[in-house]
This record gives sequence, C-alpha cells and structure tokens, in this order.
Amino acid sequence: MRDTHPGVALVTGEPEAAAVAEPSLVALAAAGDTRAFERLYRQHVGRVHSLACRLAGREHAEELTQEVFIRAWEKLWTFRGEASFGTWVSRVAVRWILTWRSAQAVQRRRTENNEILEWLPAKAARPDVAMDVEAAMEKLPDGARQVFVLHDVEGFKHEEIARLLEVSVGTSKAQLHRARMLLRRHLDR
Amino acid sequence: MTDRWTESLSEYLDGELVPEDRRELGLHLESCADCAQTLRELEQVVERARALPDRAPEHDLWPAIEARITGRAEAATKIEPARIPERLAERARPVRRAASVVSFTWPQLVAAGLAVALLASAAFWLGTRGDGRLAQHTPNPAAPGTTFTASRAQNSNEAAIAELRDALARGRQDLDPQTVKVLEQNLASIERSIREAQTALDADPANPYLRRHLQETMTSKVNLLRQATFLASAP
Repeated sequence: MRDTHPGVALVTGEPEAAAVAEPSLVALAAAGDTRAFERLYRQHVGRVHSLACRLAGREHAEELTQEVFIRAWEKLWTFRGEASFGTWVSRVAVRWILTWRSAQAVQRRRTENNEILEWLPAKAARPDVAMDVEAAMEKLPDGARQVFVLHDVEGFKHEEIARLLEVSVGTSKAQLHRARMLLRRHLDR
Repeated sequence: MTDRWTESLSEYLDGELVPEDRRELGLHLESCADCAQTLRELEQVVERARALPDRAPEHDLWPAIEARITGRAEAATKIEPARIPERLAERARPVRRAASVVSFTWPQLVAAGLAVALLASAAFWLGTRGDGRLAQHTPNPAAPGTTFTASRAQNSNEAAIAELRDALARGRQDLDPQTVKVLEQNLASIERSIREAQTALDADPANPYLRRHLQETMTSKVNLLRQATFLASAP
C-alpha cells in the first residue's frame, strides 16, 4: 500500500489551526465530530477520487467518492488503527467501487475482446508526446485495468486482489502482465 | 516479439519467480535484446504508475457529504446544482449515526427491485410470445456445449446464491430492519421470476431465450445478494 505508517500523518490543511495527528482526528470523528471528519476528508479525498477515476471512470468518480466517505463515516467505529486512515479508507473505496461496478455490469455487459485493444497504436506516433498513463489506463480492458490500478498504482498484493476481484492469483498476475504489455506501447521513446 | 520467457517478464520484474526460473530468465536476458528491451519498458510503466499524482475532484463534495452524515438534508438543496449531480441532491437523506447498523440507500434498493421485477416480467412476456427477433440474437441451443455451459452456469449461480444467503444470514443483525424488509421483497420478486422462467423452460426446454432469461435473472439475484452481503460486512 502506498502509506502504511499509522499515526504519523499530520493534518495541516487549515493554516490557522494547530496541526492535529491523524489518530486524534479519527478518534474525534468516530465520536461524532464532523469537523474532524471534514479534515480527514480533505486530507484523503484526492486519493479516493483518483481511485474512483481509475476504477470506474471520471464520469462516476465524484458520486462514488461521496458515497465512499459516507460509508467511511458510518463504518468509522470499525477502524482499529492497524494501518493508516488513508489505507483503511482506500480499502473501503475499493470494495465499494468494485461492488458498484459489478452491479453496473449486469446492465452494461462490457466484454473484453480484441476490439477494445484496437485503439492502441503499435508505438507512439509522435515521440515528443509524453505518455499519458491516465488516458491509456482508461482504455484498458476492465479486468486488466482493475488489476493494474490495484497492484501498480495502489500497491495491493496479488493475493488480496484475487480475493477482491474473485479471481485466482494466476489470473491476477496474467491480467497485470497484459495491462503492462499494452501500456508499454504508449511509452515515448 | 514473443518467446517462452515473454509472459514471465512481469513476474521477474516483481521478484515473484521461483529461484530456478529467475536464474534461467536472467541468463536469457543477457542474450535476448528483445526481452531485455521489453523488460526495460515494463519497468518504465511501473515507475510511471507509482508516480501518478492524486487528483482532487473538480467540485467540493463536502457540503453534500456533511448534509448526508448530519441528517441535514435541506443543506444539500442549497448546493449549486452544477457542482453536484442532481441525483445526489435527490438522494440526500439523514444517515443514522448509530454506526453499527447498516442501511441501504433506499432509492437504490427500491429502484433495483422494481427494475429487476419489471425487466424480468417484460422479458418473460417477450420470450414466451415467440418473438422471432429475439431468437435471432440468442445462441443456438443445439450447438455443442451450449447445454453444458448453461447448466454449469446455473449450478454456479445456485452455489453462489446459497453461499451469499448464508453470509447474509450471518450479517443480518447488522442491517437495518427496514432494509431487510425491502431486500426480502426484492428477492421475492426475483425468485418469482425465476420460478416462472423455470416453469416455462420445463415446457419448452429448447427455447434459447428462456435459458438466457433464467440465467440473467439468477445473475441479478446473485448481484443483489452480493451487494447486501457487502454492505452488511463492509468495514
């Protein structure tokens, strides 16, 4: 995971306010202090929103981000401080977003087939254009994109990804390699 | 460029190959320029992924979140419409702070149930009236393997439903009673559709549309149960 050090983050988003250690904010928020929860939100909203963009698409990201923080508020009492709040809330986000996606898939069956890959040119046409990883990720097939985001961007292990996506570890590894091989075509030389 | 080692390059990069394979691939990389180049490109992809910056939302979502968590639904209506999707303002409602109890978003559950019931009924009606246009787009039931595949999928769904039912029973006490009531109503609608489809399929076993309809209805049930189970067990 990207941050695994509980208790070291200081929230200093409000210049006039004294820096408050994150565990204190979590404790205050768990006791019902919405001001404390707002500071946690402002500290971590970028990470959750980025995750939502990458897993569900930009058009749904704000709505999902909002829902994730509401879920986090409701479930804050279960947070034990074993990892940082950022790690915990990103797991809440992943589970929520993946569940949302599976519900969406019932109505919009987006199959993974070779047609989706046709957008990928063999190599970048203009060497001066830097690789836009974000844009390229959006075009990946769903399975490959989910594994790539969770493993290479968020730092999940294959075993955890396999549990979250209900696939085998071998499938997770294969999808990761597939994603990387597709994305490498967009590297500028 | 592909050779027997190409598919192992990511595992090599992540240090997940067994020592013997890692040694062999290392030797191969010394003599294969293509694989060495591919490995360098994969390394760059990983480096760039790790360096991606976080992106904050364009709009401040806090006012709507605050409205939901404090129960001040009226605050959501004061949010500038362009900043928050309209459906979010419509959905703004008090959230119980008794955090140990989970409740679905009401409109989501009701809408899901109604949608499934309506779609199932409409689809069932279309399927049994012999609409040839539908049949044109369905798989040929006589094709080798079709029956086996459908049967295996159905068994898989039944197993998933049983497992999710058990999980939901274990987490039922964590769900709001009103949520449980709506959930049961929705499940009853779906189960009624499944029974109808099964009865129709018994009378017309070769009907490809009915097979697909049954499968899709069962999948809907699995997904509703999965969502309920998730909400009951979410951290």
